[in-house]
Amino acid sequence: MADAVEARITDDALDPRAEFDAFLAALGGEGGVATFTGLARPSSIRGAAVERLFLDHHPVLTEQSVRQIAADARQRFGVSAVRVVHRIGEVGSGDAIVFVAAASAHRRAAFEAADYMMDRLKTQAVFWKREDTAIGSNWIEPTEADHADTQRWSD
Amino acid sequence: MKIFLFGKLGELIGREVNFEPEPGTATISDVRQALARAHPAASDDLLSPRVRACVNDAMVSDRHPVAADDEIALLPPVSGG
Repeated sequence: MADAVEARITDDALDPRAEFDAFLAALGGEGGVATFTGLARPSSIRGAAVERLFLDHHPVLTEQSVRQIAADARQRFGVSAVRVVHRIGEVGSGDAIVFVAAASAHRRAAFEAADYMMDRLKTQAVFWKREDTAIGSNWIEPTEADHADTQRWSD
Repeated sequence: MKIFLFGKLGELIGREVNFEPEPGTATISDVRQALARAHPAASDDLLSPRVRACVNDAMVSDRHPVAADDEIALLPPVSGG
């Protein structure tokens, strides 16, 4: 049986179908699975074509932060298993950058756990994201909307 | 001391800097100010309260004392997903 909390970072291509299959294969009697896959957007907020993203990471804190977010989701929503896989390094436009999954007896907890993990990954996980476009590179910070999304979960 | 820089700061200054602190460098705040003097192009980021400091992989405040053999990381605002 797989770990109930699986969290990893990878500089290899991320295959969301393979992650979903592996997650499903380790389940035992849950009623539902919610998944989300984030793709590297082909255009920046200002409309420039994005050639690639680059995700910088910290050798210790990045994986620790992803694992903490996954563990918090499992505990908070009482879901039986969660999986988070996040890319580091260069990510081509249109490629999967993040995959999250949550499994539970009933659907609501799984939806909420996936939503919660994504909100915290956007604002609290230890990554630094640079967009490389034909007219230059920009380091991306969370938007006000991203912070507001995370704030929804504060007690 | 070794200073590791990430994201935009790593690009501006380098990923890893061997920094010989001047006498009297006692806190994270002192280190940030000395680095900002050495790297004026990055001084806004180095001094920004939004850039957090870590000593030996634990988050610390600007008042945290520093020792010559510490490994310090400076972390700009994070964003994943």
